[in-house]
Amino acid sequence: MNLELLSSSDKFDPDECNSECLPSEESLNKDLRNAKRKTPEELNEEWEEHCQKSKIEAEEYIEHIENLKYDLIDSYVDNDDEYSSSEAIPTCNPWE
Amino acid sequence: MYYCLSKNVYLVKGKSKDCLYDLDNKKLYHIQKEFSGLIDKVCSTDMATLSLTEEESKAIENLKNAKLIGTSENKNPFPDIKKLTMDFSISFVWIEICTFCNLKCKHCYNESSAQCHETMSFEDFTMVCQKLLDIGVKKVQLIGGEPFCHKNIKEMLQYAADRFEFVEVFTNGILINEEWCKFFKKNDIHVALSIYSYNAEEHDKVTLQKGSHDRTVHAVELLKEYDIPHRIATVYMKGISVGEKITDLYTLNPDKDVIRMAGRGNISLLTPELLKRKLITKETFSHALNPQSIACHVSGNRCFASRLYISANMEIYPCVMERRISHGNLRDNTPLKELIKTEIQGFSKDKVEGCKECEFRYACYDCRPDSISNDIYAKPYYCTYDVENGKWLDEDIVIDRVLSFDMN
Repeated sequence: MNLELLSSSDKFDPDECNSECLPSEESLNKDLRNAKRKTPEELNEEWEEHCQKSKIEAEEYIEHIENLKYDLIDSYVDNDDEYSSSEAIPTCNPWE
Repeated sequence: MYYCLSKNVYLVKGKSKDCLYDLDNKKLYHIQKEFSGLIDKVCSTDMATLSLTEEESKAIENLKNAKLIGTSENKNPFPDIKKLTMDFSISFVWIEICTFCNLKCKHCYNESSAQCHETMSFEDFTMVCQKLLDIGVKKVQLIGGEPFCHKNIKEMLQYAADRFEFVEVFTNGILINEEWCKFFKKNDIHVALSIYSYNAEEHDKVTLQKGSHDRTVHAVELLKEYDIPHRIATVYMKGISVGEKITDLYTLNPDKDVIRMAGRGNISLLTPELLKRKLITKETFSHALNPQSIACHVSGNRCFASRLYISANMEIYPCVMERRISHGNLRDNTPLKELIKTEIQGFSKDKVEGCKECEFRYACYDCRPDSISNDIYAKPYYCTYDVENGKWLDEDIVIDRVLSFDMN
């Protein structure tokens, strides 16, 4: 009758999931913000005005994105072993 | 007097073998059925009338030396590990704001490209944020597609940064410029980027856009210059060499993520070496037992219990890579708290075919979305333990079997 000890290490598995998309617990905990928050009422008031303005800007921007889509579709190669030229990289940017 | 299992020692029964989980000393023991039968016998028989063979006495001595059993005046039933429970609360949420992407990465979990058109409106985004805030979520990540191709990305980031404690945006960095860095700095926004190799050509083979490496690395330069908190994510896959580190700008973590079978990720992107890093083997259990993880695995799924993924069409999934099960849709007027299904959060190995009778089921972590089956209840394809016979399978045989699997 053998009592086989498996967990010979004293250390825990540091991060079981380890997914590319997931920030580590360390970075999540380290960087929590301490800044004083505005109240929900203050934020809602601020945002009502801001949303109206951003809606107009966004309509203009979407046109640019739509054009960009067609450029990109043309640029993809069928064979995944090859890849397309640098000219295809879009420069869409709300700041420009 | 009776023998009894020591405090925080649990016997977990499997089909052909059993395990002793010692949570105080953080140790896991694998034992034969005969041994657990002996434990059962000594714990249910008065020591005054107990008769043991020499071999049995030696085995009990070993248990005593390992502090796995003690004595009690009364007969005690074995403690039930299922009583270790954890409260489920959502602490982190991915919000997919669009599926459109200006790259077309070979392995993309979301199969994003320029042909994808699902977009979350700004109005829907604010509704999502409000519902998440209502259930106490403090940490979110905006993801796509490429978030910076969304017409309202600036407003969305600002809105989120004003309300959540931690906001990260996952981007390919192609569109990041100095103005964006100033914006990140002002709003304390974190950035995550994927780089697949130190070699530009190798990286571009993944993104299928020549020049993408240069653009992403330039974004990293800017993030460093502006002191923006950022992290570099890497996924390892077949045919892509990480190359030699020739820069101080970033480091690719050699222990990081191996390609998962989600989205465009598939078996053809795995090599035997990469698959070997995923395998659940005897070595997997050499880490110290983490009592918190055990409680989590007993209660449900470690990831599903505390995370959500909101897609651009407002569907609520348990993980960024898991689309086989859903909590429902946020357009439903039901409060989010009521939509979240406890059976998904509580998706423990007790529900998984091939795991539910495994003695390691509460010590073992598997990534549910990393699956080659449409069946959410399927045993992980990279497990090398034969539950029926209580034996570890030859790793090379498992690797051959997986790599010859046709996902179509």
